[in-house]
Amino acid sequence: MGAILTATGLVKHFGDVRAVDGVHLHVRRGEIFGLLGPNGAGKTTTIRILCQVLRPDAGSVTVDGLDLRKDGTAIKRLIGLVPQEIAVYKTLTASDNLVFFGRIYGLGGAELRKRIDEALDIVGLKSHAGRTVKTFSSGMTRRLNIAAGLLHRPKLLFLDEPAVGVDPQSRNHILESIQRLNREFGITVLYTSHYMEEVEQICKRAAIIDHGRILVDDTIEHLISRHGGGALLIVLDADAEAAAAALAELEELEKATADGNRLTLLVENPQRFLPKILDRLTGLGAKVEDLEVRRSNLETVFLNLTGRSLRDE
Amino acid sequence: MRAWAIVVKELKEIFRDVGGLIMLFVVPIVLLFVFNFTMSGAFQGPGERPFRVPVANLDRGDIGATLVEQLDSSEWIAVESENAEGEPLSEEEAVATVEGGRRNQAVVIPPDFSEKIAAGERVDITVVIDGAVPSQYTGPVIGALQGAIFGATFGEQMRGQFPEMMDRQIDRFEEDQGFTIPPSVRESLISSDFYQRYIADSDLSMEFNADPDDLLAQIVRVQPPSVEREQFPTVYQQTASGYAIMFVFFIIMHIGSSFLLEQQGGTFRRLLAAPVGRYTILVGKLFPNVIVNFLQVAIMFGASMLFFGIDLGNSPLGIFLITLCLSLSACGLGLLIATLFRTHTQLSGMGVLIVLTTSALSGAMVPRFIMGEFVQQVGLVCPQTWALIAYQEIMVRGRGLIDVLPHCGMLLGFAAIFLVVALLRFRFE
Repeated sequence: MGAILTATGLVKHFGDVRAVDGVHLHVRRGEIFGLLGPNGAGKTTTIRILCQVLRPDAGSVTVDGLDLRKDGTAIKRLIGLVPQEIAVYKTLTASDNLVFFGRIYGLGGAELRKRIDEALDIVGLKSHAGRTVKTFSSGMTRRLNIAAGLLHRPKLLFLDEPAVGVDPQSRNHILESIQRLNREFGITVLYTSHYMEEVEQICKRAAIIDHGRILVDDTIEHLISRHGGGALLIVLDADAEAAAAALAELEELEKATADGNRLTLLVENPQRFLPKILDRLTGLGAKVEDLEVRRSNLETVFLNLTGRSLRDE
Repeated sequence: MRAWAIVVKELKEIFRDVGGLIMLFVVPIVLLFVFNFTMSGAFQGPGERPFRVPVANLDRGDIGATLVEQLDSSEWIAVESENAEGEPLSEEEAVATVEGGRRNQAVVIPPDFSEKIAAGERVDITVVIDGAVPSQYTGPVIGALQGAIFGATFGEQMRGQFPEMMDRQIDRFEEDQGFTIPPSVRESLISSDFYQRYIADSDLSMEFNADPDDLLAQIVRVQPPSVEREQFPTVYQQTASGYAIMFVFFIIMHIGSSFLLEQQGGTFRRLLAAPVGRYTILVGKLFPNVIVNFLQVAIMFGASMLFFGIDLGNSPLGIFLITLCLSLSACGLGLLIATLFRTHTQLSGMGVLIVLTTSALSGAMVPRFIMGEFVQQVGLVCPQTWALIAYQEIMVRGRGLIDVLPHCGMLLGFAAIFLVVALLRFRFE
């Protein structure tokens, strides 16, 4: 499959902060591509550059063969943005919101009504079209936020943390809607999140971003098999520095890091290795207050690559 | 203890809310100063003589000079009888002070004033009054002028007309007291000999109960020559325009909040990602406020016409143009404050402060002519001042579209400055 989006060497500064630091992205036509990283990693800034909300300090972007610098307006017709914020008007009804955003894209009349019905159907809000948005639950508002980005049937849809802050049921509904959009309408999706479960659930490929840089970019399967491993997260009753140094000598251990009284151990098979670790800690006189075993997944990929947990951010 | 914990928490919240603090402490103190400044003209002490009246004394005789002197001796009136070069004020210069809005009334004493009074002929003293000034502000000057005329002319008038005046005075006495003075006594009293011996060089002439209509010098009130309306305005004509202007400017808070909401809510980001230009977004957001302003003005003027019978003058096109220019300056200021404040509480606090302060300085809340000279000059940097003058030109002074073009130009200038500064500062993000 050819690329619908290619970003090369994107850089964006905010004062002294280098929010995006040479980002390269390659999104294939028809896929759901995940951009995974902790809060503040540069995901939203990257999306804003790709959607022309922000101008990059350096780098280039092509969308469907069009150059962002030359064909900005044409590209805007091809893309849709669902921002992280709930970017709808709360005093208007769901229908009024969609009429407004549809008209912004030049839609009108029967065609606009049809698209509104279609978008509301996809996000499961058809029976709530006439309700004022401020009466919606958080999950419903998030779904309307997505519907507003679908009206003009974009080829490439940017979803910036679209399920943040909603209950599990609404999150599942949102993720299913996105999969349906991709499957039935062939819309390519660039999905950002700091929840690895979401990315694992709907994306075939993903990139991991941290401190404005893309660390890896591959299929989820390859990312986990190459960089995943397992992990043991242990909270001790005292500073973990000495324990990390002592455990680092163990052959099976890939990496041992300490952060205060928190000990992070990267290991291929954490369950099998656990008794040995506990023995060694007892020998060191360290008392375990809490312990978590993490299977091999995108979370451990991030741990492996950065030494930090996605959730700790 | 729990109640105390709530008290402490509440106080912390109150004192960390900058916008709220501005509303609670800064707005009242600023308004206190502004209103004290603007009202200073109306409540000055006796020594400060709040009514400044230009007098063109074209008469070179003694009676005219005495009249000016007597008027100036009033504890409320400061006569301005010289121009900036120290020369006697001409009629044109005196009238120009009223037409230009610097003074609300001026007195013109005709060239042959002393001569005519001495000859016992009737003569008119013209008081040129700005039509936009209500009678309670012209009354004291007219009263003082009446007194000065009596003081300056009655002695001379009596010298020429003593027999007739004494005769009328005896008639009044007989009527009041209910008995008849014998004809021989009446003849002695009205004789010129009696006048020379007992009245001429005494203050007794001041005791005569003269009817103002009996005086040779009569006051004639006129509007400036350029004013085309014959009637003086009602108080409603003056307040309708002032309040309409003030409420038009309240739109700045709505505009500021609306932009802040779109910036912070993320809807601007969504629009920027859509095929719509940035200036299209700005124009689209500002234009509805112009419609709202027109509705506000229509409602205010409509209600004033319906319930208070005000006359809007003869230039609907002029009123339309003033309203448009006023609205554009309000929209520009609204966009500017959206770039200056980052929270809704800051914006609403400062917005109220800006609207009330500029409205007070402009004369929308209290008439400009009762303000001190300095405050009137400061008021010229408020767009509302120009709108108010322009509305009154049409509604009160009966002028037309051409006459208000300079005022509209000033309003557009304000709009341009506000918009340029706002656009230089504005960020959609």
